[in-house]
Amino acid sequence: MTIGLMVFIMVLLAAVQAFMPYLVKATEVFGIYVPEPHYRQEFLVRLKKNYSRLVLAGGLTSVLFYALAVNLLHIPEGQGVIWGVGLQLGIVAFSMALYFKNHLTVKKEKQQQGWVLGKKEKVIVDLQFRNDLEMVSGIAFLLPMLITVGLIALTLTLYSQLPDKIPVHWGADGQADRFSEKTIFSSISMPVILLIMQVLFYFMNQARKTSGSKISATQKAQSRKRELASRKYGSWLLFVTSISVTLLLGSLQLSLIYPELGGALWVMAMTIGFAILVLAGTALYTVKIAQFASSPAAGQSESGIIDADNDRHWKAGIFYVNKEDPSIMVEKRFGIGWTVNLGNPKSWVMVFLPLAAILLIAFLVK
Amino acid sequence: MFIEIEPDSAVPIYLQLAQQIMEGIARGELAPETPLPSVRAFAADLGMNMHTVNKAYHYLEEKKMIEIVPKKGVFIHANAIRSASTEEKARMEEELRPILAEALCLQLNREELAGMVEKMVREIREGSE
Repeated sequence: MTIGLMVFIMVLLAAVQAFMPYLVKATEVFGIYVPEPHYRQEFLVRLKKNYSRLVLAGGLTSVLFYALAVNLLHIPEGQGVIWGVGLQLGIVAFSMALYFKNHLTVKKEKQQQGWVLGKKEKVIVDLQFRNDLEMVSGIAFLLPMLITVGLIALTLTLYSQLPDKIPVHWGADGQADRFSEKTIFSSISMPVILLIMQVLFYFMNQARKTSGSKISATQKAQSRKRELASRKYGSWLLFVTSISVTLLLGSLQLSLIYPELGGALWVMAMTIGFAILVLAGTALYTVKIAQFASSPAAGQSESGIIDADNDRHWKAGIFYVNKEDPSIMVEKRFGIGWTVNLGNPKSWVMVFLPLAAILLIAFLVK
Repeated sequence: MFIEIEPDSAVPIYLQLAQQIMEGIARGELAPETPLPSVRAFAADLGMNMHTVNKAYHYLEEKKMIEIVPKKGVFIHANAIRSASTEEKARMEEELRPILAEALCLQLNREELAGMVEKMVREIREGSE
């Protein structure tokens, strides 16, 4: 079952990575801004196609070998999962290496052909943009936190009834396989981690509300719709993720308090349900956003006008570093979803504070 | 309403912002009391420093074209469309003076100047450059 899930995730991962050039904005080719009409060049079309073929071939070959090896060599499930995760990382690393090679190629070509030379750069701002935002409200993100606080209170009230060993890790079979001494801290460590994640989701949602809209100078209406959609569906995806994490960790905590509630099967079902919910949400988000990427309204662009070339702020086309921009989160250039503005100190706080807190708790409980 | 900024233009960015908002008010697209984006949101949309937006907003506030209400936000001034006061007329004259001086040097006659004003008023009303 878990191996099946591993294979499924691997296939999905390879497919998403392979089709990434077609899921992102047409004017951002391998993390480089390519203005109209240059992004239609035969050279770039071929570059994208080759990338997709290579990633798909590499990914599917490794999936095939993995499935065969696990079945023929009778590798135990726990080990199979480790190999699976390793291979998934391998697929990502392989596609990123290819990406980076193409990134450099496009960058060089852009300089040599002078795609932005002599063009007038324009930055577009819609004064009404934030009035038309349809995002999940911050209050909705606060609601799951109530569940967590309730769970913490419940755990502390029933503290004397808790088992002497607090499970802190579960194996692939859903069976708890690592335990910690029973202390007040270890008994509530999981809901505390959950609370940190919920707070993080709340702030991520707020950060997207204030994130700068990137409206294209040559396709104002179309790109405006896309910007609104990426915020709306991104916010929903974040909300679904918050709810799923709450359900998963909340039910684990409940099974600690009421051992008769959750056996190994229960843990496995919750984990798989969690994975399916988050994957389905991500898939839906991707489909919704990709609609806008694949339909650039051609031929209505004013000649000589291009968007502001922000390449200098995108290190390797992946890391956004802009000290001037007060945005904390921005949409990725090459990839689905959002990334942080590393030029803004608040982004560092948002990334490292929860990470440090969770690692500290994990360390203390161990 | 869309604001279009040219980062490489000789006109400072804060002035481009202020002038386009003013054109929006003149055209009626930005009615009195219409809310404007917060400084942070506006700067994020521009991908530029908040200082730039602040400067534009203060410039417009000084001209009583917008109102900055603490903790509530930024709005088009309730009296943005009004008859000019004596001081405002005097300030306009002062600002127009160097432009007229240049026009006289370039030997533009009154008809030509009147034609220019006519054309620009029409363009501002219609919302084209």
